[in-house]
Formats: sequence, C-alpha cells, structure tokens
Amino acid sequence: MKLIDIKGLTKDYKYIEKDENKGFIYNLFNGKEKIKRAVDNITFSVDEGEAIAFIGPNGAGKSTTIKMLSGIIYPTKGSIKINGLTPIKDREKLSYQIGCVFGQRSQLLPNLPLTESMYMFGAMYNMNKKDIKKRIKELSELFDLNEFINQPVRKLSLGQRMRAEIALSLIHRPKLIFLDEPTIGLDVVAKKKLRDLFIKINKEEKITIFLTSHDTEDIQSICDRCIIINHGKIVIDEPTNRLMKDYVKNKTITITPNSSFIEFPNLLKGMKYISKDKDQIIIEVNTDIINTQEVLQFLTKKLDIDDIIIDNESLESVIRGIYEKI
Amino acid sequence: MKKFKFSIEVIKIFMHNQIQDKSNLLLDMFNMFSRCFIVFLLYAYIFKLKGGVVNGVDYKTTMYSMFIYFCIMILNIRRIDQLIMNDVKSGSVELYMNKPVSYLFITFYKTIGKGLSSFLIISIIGTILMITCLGVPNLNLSIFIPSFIITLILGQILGLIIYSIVGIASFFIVDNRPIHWIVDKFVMILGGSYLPISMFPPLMKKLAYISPFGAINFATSTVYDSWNYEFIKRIGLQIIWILVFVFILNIIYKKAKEKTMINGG
Amino acid sequence: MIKNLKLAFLNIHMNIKNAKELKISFIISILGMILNNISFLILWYYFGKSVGIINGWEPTDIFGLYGISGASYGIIMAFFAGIIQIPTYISSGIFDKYLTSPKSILMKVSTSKVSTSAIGDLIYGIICFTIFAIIQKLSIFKILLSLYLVILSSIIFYSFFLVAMSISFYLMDGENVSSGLTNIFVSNSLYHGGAFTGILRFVFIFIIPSLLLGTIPVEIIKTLSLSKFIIITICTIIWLYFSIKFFYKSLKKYNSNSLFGFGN
Repeated sequence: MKLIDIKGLTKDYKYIEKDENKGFIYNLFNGKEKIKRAVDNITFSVDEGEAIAFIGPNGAGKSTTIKMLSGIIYPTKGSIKINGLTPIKDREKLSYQIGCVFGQRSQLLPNLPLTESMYMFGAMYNMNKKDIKKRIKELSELFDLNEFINQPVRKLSLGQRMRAEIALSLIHRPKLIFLDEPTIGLDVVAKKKLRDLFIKINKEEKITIFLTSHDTEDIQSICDRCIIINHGKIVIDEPTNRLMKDYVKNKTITITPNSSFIEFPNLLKGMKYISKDKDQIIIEVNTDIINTQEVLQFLTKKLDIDDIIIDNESLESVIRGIYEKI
Repeated sequence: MKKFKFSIEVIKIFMHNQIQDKSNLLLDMFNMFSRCFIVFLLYAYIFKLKGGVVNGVDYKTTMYSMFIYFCIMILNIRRIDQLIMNDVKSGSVELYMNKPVSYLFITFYKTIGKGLSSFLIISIIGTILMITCLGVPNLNLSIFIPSFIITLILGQILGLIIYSIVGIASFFIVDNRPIHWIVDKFVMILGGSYLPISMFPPLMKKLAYISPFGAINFATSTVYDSWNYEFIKRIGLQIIWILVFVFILNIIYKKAKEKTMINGG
Repeated sequence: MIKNLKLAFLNIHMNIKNAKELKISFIISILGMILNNISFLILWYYFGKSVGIINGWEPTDIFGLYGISGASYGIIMAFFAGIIQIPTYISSGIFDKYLTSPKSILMKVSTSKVSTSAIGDLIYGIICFTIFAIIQKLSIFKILLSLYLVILSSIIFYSFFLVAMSISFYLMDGENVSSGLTNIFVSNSLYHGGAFTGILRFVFIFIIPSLLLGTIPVEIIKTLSLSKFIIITICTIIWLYFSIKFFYKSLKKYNSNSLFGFGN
C-alpha cells in the first residue's frame, strides 16, 4: 500500500533583489521580485514499511521537501498524499500519523527530564495517562532510556539526547517518521547504536522511515531505497544495492611485492596508477573498459606479487561521483 | 475537553519544574520583598508628610494595591513575547507547525506554568505578612473576592494576548524588543507599579481606565472604594479588549504562519 | 596590555559595524530605549513634583540620577555587552572559543558583543545629565567630578555584572540566577533616591551596590560630601579587584558543554 504519494511537487521561493547601490527606501518600492525554484516537479511514492534515503548535496531541496511532506510549508504546485491525507488541509489528522526528528533542532524541554516531555507530547496527541505510561515503558526498553530518563535533558550526552529525541517523536505511534540528519555530530559508537535502532523500529514497529543524511553509512545500513535529488529534481531513484551495482565502475587494486618492485610496466587501457613505489602499487580499474579477470592475468604476468587486495568503490565515492556529474 | 486536559498537563509539568528549582523561587522572593520594602518605606514617609491620606486614599489601601501589582509581576506573563521571539529566531517554531495543538496555545500554557508556582507561593506568604504588618484591608469581601479573581484572570489573558502580538512581530521585524519595552512601560506605569494609581494625575487615571494596557492590571484597583461601583464596567471593558485583541492576534498570527509556510520563514 | 586594548577596540569596532548593517532596527532599538527610559523619568519627576523634597531629594535630582546611571550603563552595555552573555556562552559551549584565544580571555569575552539599544541609554544619559547640569548650574569642577563618578559607576556596573554572570560557572542552569541578580541590582538603582534610608541604604551600598550607580554620585555632586566620595572610590576598587579575581577563579570550574540547538 502506498503511504506517500507525490505528484508533480514544486516549490518556489520568492525574494526581492535589492540594488546594493541604492538606499533602503528606493529598494522598498523598486526591488525586483525574483523566484527561486527549490523543488522542481518531483514525483515518487513510498510504500508502507519501506525505509527511504532522500539525499542530495546542500541546497538540493531535501529539507524543503520534508517540510512540505510534514505539513510545515505549502507546496506551490503538485499534490501530496500521505496515507490518503493532504498535509496542508488535514494537518491535524496528519500530525497523529507522522513523527519528525530534526538533527539540528530539539523538541525536548531542556530543563526537564525526558519523561516530562513525553507526558506533554502524549497529552498533546490526546493519549491518556495509562497509555502514555505504557508507551514510555515500551520506548525505554526499545531505546535503552532507563539510565537517563529521569535526568534533565540538558545534562545528557548528544547520543543520549538523540535517542531521547527519537523516542519522543514516536510517543504517539506514528506510521511514518521523518529523520532529517539524525546522526549529525555523533561519534561512531553512538551512530551505530542509532542505526540499529532505526532498523529495529522499521522492522519491529513497522514504521516507515524517510531519512535525509550526508552520512552514507546511514543510508547503506538503514535504507532499502535511495532517492537522490539535485537542483530540486530527482536524478536517481533506485534500491540501494542496485545503486552500488549500477554506479560502481571503479575498483582499486593494492599489490604488495615478494621483495620489492623494481620496474613499473605500462598498464592496459582502463587501468591507471594511483601510486607506485617499491613497497606497494595501487591501481584504479574502470570495469566498463576492462574486466577484472583480464586485469589479474595481466598483473600476475608482469609483477612479482606477494599479496593482492581488490576494493569496490564505497557508496560515498559513488554518490560523490553522481553529485559531480549532475 | 481534549485541549483542556492538555493545558492542565503542560501547566502542571512546568509548575512542578518551577518548584524544584529553588534558586528561582528564592530570587523571585528576594526581588519581591526588596521591592515591597523600598516602596513601602518610601510611601510611609510620604503619607506621613501628607497627613496620612493622599487623594482620599489611606496608606494601607495604597500598599495593598501595590502589593497586588508586585504579585502579578511574579506571574510574569510578559515573558511570552521573548519565548516566541526565541522560537522564531531559532526556527523551532516550525517544529510546532505540524502538531495537533496550535503553537500559540502551547506557548500560553508554558508561560502560565512557568510563573504560577512562584506566584502562588509568594502571594500567599506575602498576604500573610501584609495582614500581620498592616492589618486587614477595608474591603467588601462579597464583591472583592469574586471580582478580584475574575479581573485577575481576564487581565492576565489580555496580557498574554497583547504580549503574544509583540512576540509574533518578530516574524516580520528583526528585533521586537523596542516594541516590548514600550508596551511594557505602558503596562507597568498604568498598572501602578512605582506610582500608586491613587496618586495618578487625571490624564493618567483616564488612560489607565480606558486603555488596554491599563486593563491588564485592573486587579490593582480592586482594593479602592471606587471598585465597588465600577467593577462591572471594568470587567466588561476587559472582555471587550480581549475580543478586540484576539481578533488582531488571529490576523497577525495567520499572516505569520503564511509567511513561514509560503516562504519557509 | 596595549595589545589587549587594541584588540578590544577592533572587536568593538567590528561589532558596531555589524549592527549598523541592520540600519532600521539599529535606529529603532536606540530610539526605543530612549523612549523606554523617558517613561521612568516622567514617572519619578511627576512623583517628586507632587510630593516635594524627600530626604533631601528635589524633583529635578532625578535628572542627575538617570544621567549618571544611564550614561554608565550605556557605556558598559554598548561596548562590553559580552559579559552578560557569559551564561549563554557557558550553556551553549561557545565559551570554548574564548578559552583558546591567545589574548586576555576577559577582554575578549567582554567585547564580544555590543548592545545597540545601550547606545540609546548612553544618549539618554547624556541628555539627562545636561539638563541636570543646567538646572543645578554646575561649575566646571563639579562637571569634572561628575565625569569621574561616571567612570566609577561604569566600573561598578561592570564588576557586579561580572560577578553575577560568573556564578553561572557553578550552576547548571545559571542563566536565571544571573539575570535575577542583575535585575535586582539594576532595578533598585532606578528608584527615587529619597526612598533609601537606614538599613535599606546600607544594604544597597555595601551588599548590592545599586546606590553607587547614581544615587550616591548625585548626592556627592550636590553636597560635595568627602566621606561619600571616599566610600564610593574604595568600594569601586574593591569591586573591580574582587570581580576579576572571582571570574578567573570561577573559570576553573568550566567544563565544556556540547553544542546543541535547543529551541526552548
């Protein structure tokens, strides 16, 4: 079943261009109105239970799209249906079905313990005391909140705070959660913990995840599908593992010698040296031009090899490549 | 009913927090008593100079009026405009746009919750001290008690609305503090903060009566004799002002929301 | 020392330039503050008019009180508004960046912000004092004395703020306590000088030095009281010394918080 259904979504921002050389009064009356198209005619849908990564370079229109989907800003054109509801028209009804986490902003009450924020949000979503209590228990087990649930939020570490933030946004059992850069600023351990949680809520609580992030690890480990957006347009919409297959064109081969390399042979077409010295050679191979088998045959013939390591390009460099191309 | 339950929940949470934070309560108390002390000594001196009665009002009545003003200051609903301004500046106002309860209501409840416990504790202690030091005020209790409660609540609602408008102005201008200062000074002076209402010159008396800024603190007039025959009119005025400012708040809040929603803030 | 001062001036200059970028709000905030202050002046002036002389205070003395306290508050807040940001810097973790600065931490923090509205206070103070000087027909000697007292009053403002703000180093949620203390300090300096007698006078000179900001200076200018002159001079020196010591002592308590955008 389709949970999110977007057709031809467009958002224009208007702004007044001022003449730097003229005064304030002049600009007040004579400023030229300009239009910037932040999101340009995008169409896609998301099924219930999916985990989607919605990524793109800074200023690509990610946040604008999330804000339109969650009912914070009006679209200029196009239609949005979330579980059959139109965000702007049915804002209140919609609010019961979605949760939002913005990595750079907090919804928690900073001087109060997390439970208080949860009671406040629970009451806001019209839950009764018993129900809130039960939900807090569930969430604190799921998110491991017990160690800090009664401390004022401002005393928590960033990782704990993010977990609190996410638990809070799930208090009313939403069907869909928007995560806007949830792992920003966290250390590796905290990031890993959070990712495992996302997978858990996606699989166990059947919550649909709509994630934006600059961290490719987030995308790779959490999301089954990747939508890449740039200049307001969707450029790629594919399952994450297909993205790897389709766009990973380069492999790097690292070779160590038995004793030491003395000469460096000319390479075949599609291969190039990244670095070469007597202890190690690194070669980049474009698999569109030459296949791996040929490369290996060539190398074993020409070089005195002790060990050989073949690496696929990381998702990060794939995405970097895509950004640079589009 | 749903909304009412929510409001009680939020107010309770913030009150609870306020009680736990002892340093705040102590500061509020020190502030209150030092102010009362200074003003009471000053006016004791002045009333003695003038033979005990100024403009037909005695020292005790005047001091009760100022005491009520200081208590209302502890409730401090004026802080709502700073709360709104901070939320607008930090962008967290957006986070509330897709919640089932309006941002304005959430902020109203927060504001009330933040001041209510200090207000109740200090007013009760203060009233006991006042009665011990100055004696029971000469009041017609059957009128005073109900009308005082009504006018206090209406006045604070009116205050919340007016200061919210000042807060929402920060959607449109960079810095709303100058507006805050000016509104604040009107409210403060016309409420009888430093100069008791009974000592107002005629023009100020009129302004305090008919302006919305004066109406916020009508509770400070409840101890005067004149209250007994004009309280209905005054409460009526407060209701009219509330209606007028709710109307203005609605328009300006709608404009602010549109600005955020169409132009992303 | 010279290098520090140079840096301070550069900081202030940059901050003012920054504020001027937002021209309209710059002017509005200055005018707003002047209007705000005038309301106090009218209030107490009218008060003085209707009650006459109290404890030696004439109605027009209120101009002197607001002239001196307005000007010194204006000077401190216009150029050293950074000190009242200390609790915010601490709670947000911004303070780190001052600790790593090679120059004097206190100077750098103090000059990290200008308050445009304080320029309104300063202008207002100068206007009030001019009116006071004309009414009282002050001699050149008394005007020079007033300048000296403005400097002392500024130092007391600065020192008290510094102490009140440094308390934040010891408390988790220090912002409220710091602002509560400064509120008590400033608001009590704005009362009619005749209001303070006996114990009240003692408390607000020696414990919370509100009266040193304007009340005592006006009394010194009017009566040329040598004892008050000595008291205010000594108090100023003690406050300045004590406050800087206290700041650096408190600084050792600083443990950096993580930066996180709390919206509430």
